[in-house]
Amino acid sequence: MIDELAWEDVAPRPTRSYWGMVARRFSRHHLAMASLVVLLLIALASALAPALAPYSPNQPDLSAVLAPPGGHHLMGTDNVGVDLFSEVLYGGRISLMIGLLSALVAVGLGSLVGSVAGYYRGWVDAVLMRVTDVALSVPLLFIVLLLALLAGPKPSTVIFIIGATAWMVPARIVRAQFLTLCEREFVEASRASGQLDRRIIVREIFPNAMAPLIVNATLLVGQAIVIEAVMDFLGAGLSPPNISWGWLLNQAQSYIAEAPWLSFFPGFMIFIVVLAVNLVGDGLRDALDPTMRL
Amino acid sequence: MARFLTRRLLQAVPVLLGISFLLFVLMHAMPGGPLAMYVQQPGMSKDRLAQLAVQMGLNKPVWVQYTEWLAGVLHGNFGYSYIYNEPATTMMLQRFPATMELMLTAFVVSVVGSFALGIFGAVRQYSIWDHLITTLSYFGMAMPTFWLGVLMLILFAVDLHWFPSGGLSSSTGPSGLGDRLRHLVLPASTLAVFLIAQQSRYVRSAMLEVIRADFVRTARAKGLGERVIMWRHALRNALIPVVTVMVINAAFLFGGALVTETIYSWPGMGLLFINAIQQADYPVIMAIVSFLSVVIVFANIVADMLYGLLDPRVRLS
Repeated sequence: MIDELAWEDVAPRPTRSYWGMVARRFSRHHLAMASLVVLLLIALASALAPALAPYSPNQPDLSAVLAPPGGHHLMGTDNVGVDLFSEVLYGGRISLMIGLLSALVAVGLGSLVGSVAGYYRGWVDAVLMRVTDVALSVPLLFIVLLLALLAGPKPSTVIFIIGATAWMVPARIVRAQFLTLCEREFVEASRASGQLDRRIIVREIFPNAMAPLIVNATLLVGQAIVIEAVMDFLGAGLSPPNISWGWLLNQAQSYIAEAPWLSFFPGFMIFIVVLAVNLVGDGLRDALDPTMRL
Repeated sequence: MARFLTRRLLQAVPVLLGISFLLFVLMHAMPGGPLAMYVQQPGMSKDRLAQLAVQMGLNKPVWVQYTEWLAGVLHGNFGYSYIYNEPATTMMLQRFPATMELMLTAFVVSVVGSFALGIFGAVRQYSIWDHLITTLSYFGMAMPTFWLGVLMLILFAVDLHWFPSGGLSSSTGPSGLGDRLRHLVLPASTLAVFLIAQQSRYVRSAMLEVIRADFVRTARAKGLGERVIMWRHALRNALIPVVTVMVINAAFLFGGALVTETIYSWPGMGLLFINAIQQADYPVIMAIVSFLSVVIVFANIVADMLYGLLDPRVRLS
């Protein structure tokens, strides 16, 4: 029956790179793709805030105080007549930037701790994992607020505080990956060829440990945006000119009865971004998981 | 079990000491130190500040202050509030029942809700209800607690007047259990939504895993009723991973209580902490953070113990 087989059946499938395959699998996840588009649109709109905002975010207009949404003000105005839509656009810059950078700080710190612990093992591993346990046993939100009180409300300190309190899960993920990868032949080969530890960790093992880390990093962006907003909401975060969605919600607290839209829109933006980030994370997890084949 | 418990408790000691020492050093490293609040007061002179520092023992080296603080803590004394001059322990314990009332209600609601939704979703996998529950849980997980709380406050308290907008109970008018429950509805549901959303996912996937297991097929083959299979066989095994998550979540409810208590002016520990942060009232801050660290460390131990109790295959050693 062999001659009945078409050439296509036995021909080796064109080899695709791992990341090419991941991108292909991800693009088939419609919900994740749609979420990615939404995220990119929101990021783009925030980045272009100076061009897109119909009003200046610090231009009071006393003729339009607490105007409801619609007409000239898409999302209404606040107690001094500042256009909320413009504020939300500008707020997105800070919220998204802090979310992204704090997640990067957390992943960077976590990767450092996790790779050193997983590569060197022994007492280094024991000490670092105990520290991770300690960091996981503190009431995080309380510590974040305390640190914000101590360090002052600057975007850079907020990024550092969130990053410094969120590195534990990435550290555990990277360590677990390193523990298994270090047993593999290619690491053995690199060692035998006399490469430096640093080079083996960074160039050989880490790229292979990326998959679960990427999923976690995605979710961390959403978490960081929420934590930043909680800090602002509880009055322990930023202050103008660094307005963020959380800060807008904090300001809206005094007007929940007269102007509920002031609370609705900034929170809605956080909700949509976190939802989209979670869905992108799901899509990435499915796309990166080599056990799932399409 | 006893050996496991002793070991875990002994391990917890350095962890807690480490946390408290770090916090202590951090607070003293900040510009202005613990007296920063007093510096801004009108009519404050350098002499008076130095006098205050001596009075509060702040002129001693940090490690001496720490050992003195620790000695006090072991006797249940967290020092005196800088603002109210009351013992921080008393202030914290006064607020404790209100927070427990809120957290326990939210926790019970979330456990009941997540089991109901999770089991339903697993039993009717891929039905329209399962999809609906899944969609809602995605929404619930993405919804920031502070936003949900404010929206519920606007809708149910400000617009519809169904529930009061804050506080433990009414200062005037009807009081008693009914009144307290009415005050509890909004804050407790705000706190429970995220937990229900997250935990129902765990319950669903744990149930789906056991439903396909061999022992469930065996039970079916023996001709047992579907109800007995679900409750006696499947659920008991699905409980194991879920309970661990729930116990650890219970400890982290305190974080949610910070937000919820602020929105609904619920006079609990969360609100006390926010006030202490705003006033830089360090003894109170230290008391609350230390207390919560103990709670979280113990919740982790309890979760591990429950894991061992529920699953005889897990040996605790």
